[in-house]
Amino acid sequence: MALLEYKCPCCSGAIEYNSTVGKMKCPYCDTEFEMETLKEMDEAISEDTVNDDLSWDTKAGSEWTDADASGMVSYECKSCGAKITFDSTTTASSCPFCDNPIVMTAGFVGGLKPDFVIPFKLDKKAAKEAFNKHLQGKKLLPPIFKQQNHIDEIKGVYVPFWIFDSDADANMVFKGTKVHKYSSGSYNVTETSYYRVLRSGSMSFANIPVDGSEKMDDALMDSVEPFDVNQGVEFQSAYLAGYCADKYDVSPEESVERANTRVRNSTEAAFRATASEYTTLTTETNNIRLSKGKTRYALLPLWILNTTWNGEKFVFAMNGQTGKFVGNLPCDKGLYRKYLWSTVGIGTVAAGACWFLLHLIGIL
Amino acid sequence: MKKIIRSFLLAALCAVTLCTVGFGTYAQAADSSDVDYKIGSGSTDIKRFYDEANLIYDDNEQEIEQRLRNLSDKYGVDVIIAFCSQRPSEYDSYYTGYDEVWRTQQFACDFYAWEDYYHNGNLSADGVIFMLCDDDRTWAIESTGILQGAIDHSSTEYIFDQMKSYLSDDLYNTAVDEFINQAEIHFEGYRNGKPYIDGKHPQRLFDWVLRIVVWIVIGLIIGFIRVGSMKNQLRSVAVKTEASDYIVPGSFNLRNSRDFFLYKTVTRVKRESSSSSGGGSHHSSGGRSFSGGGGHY
Repeated sequence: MALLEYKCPCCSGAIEYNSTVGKMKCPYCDTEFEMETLKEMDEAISEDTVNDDLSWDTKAGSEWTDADASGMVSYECKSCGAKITFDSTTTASSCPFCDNPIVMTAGFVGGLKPDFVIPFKLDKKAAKEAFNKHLQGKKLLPPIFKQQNHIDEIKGVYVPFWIFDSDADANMVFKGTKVHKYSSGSYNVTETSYYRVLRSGSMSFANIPVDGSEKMDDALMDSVEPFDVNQGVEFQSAYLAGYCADKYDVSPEESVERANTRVRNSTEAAFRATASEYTTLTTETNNIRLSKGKTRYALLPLWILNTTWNGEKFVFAMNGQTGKFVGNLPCDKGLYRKYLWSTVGIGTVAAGACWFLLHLIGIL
Repeated sequence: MKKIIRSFLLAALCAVTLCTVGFGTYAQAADSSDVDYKIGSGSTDIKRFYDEANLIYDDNEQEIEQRLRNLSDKYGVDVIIAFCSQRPSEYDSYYTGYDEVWRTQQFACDFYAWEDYYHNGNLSADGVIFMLCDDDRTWAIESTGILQGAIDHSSTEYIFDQMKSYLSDDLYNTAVDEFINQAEIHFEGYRNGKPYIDGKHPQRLFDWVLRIVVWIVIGLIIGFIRVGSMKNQLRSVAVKTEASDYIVPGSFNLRNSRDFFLYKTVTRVKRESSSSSGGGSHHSSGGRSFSGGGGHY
């Protein structure tokens, strides 16, 4: 005969039947539970168990054909190590990532052929306009920064991305509380009800992009999202005319962790949203199993501007498909102090004046 | 930079103006020109300081007595301070439906009335009494006659707040000093037609310093919020930790959703009353009407 042992949902201690109260009672924290509740909960958890499995099929891209390679040349940046591909008619002189001189390599070095490419929809003029718009209305931006930003050096770059698709099957266990506060006589009463909240189900993710370039800041690449991957087309070297392409230097296997983090967080958020009636919700178990997970290699269009100001490097990027422009700007410390102290002065006077007015009309 | 200096000069000017206007009323209490300060019907030649509880050194009693006499004569009222070791037992046996604070207040009113009786009804119709009962550490300040318009329930709470720390530390001599000072400030407010009653209190220099500090703190909060939002405009890059944009629409399928109630905890916290002191009007055994307040110290 199997010996059933229940663990206390509060402190995880072994609980036992207490004949005095007629309930299961934890000898460690003295919490009492209905026997039926524990039994049902135990059955519900065991009948819908999902083991954590966040593995993907990371086979992406294909081999280059001679015809593909003939129309392209490779350059290497000796400074940042970037391996950049241009179409054979382009003569390149500087690295789009660090702005240092680049040299042509002996032959075409392309790694894997992308599964698809999203062509540029916005040209350099649009990128310049977006950059100028990005600088507008920023009161703490150093005025001289705008003059020294070398906007003409903005470059169109196809950045390598790994695109992840998968179905996710999840099993979540939360500890939820509902708090009810009320007054009774001369007492403030707080009733806190504790629940074990079980949720399980599935959802699908499509086209999660993770950049495959070591040189590109992950946060910058995340910030230019989203891309409409449905507009992707088969790679042709002709798409490189006037642009360049970076070769991936982060493998899909190395990119999986970032995709998993995003999948796990979004899955948990989706299940949490189904328990919005709780005052607090603490995750106890978060098991996710991925299926039909596949990876594709894509080149996505970005306008990149590298600039250095006061010895600090600033990188700006515009989504070449949607026009979304991102990039942190420098802060002028003098302007910061000016706006801070003038606002503090005005705020102090305003607070005093408000007090005085309220005092005059007898409220204070 | 000029704007900043201008802002601060303006702030300083406003603060000084407000201080001058507000503090002026307080400073008036210290004026000592040849004016008639009398607000009551006249003081009586009686003993004004009683220390049956022996809370004050004997050496100081004479000085306190003299100060009370001067204050009473100046304003034409009777100001009495009485420290007792305990109330007469009949107050506890007779007033069974009341708490000890109320009983001390009643004892203070009766004490004033008895003084009047012992002096053949010659005690001023306008007076105030400050009483401490040492055994249950209760206090009462009760005013009668015209002084009910100078010291009401809110005034007694304010006056007690000024003495509270001294009484807690058993610094009774300092507490008496503070009471006499506060009594004069309240008499002066009444004489000037601006009595410190109905929640209005004298303004002290410290109040103004505190007020200006609060204004500056408000200014700092507004300032940091403004430049914080300006600085945020410069930042548009952040790591994404979720993939909600990439959930296939309609793909979410909730297969199992079960909630199990485990247990419930109930906590009860007694509500703090807004003030521990008692108030309202009292009548002495002789029928004289008093108003004031009391509490524990």
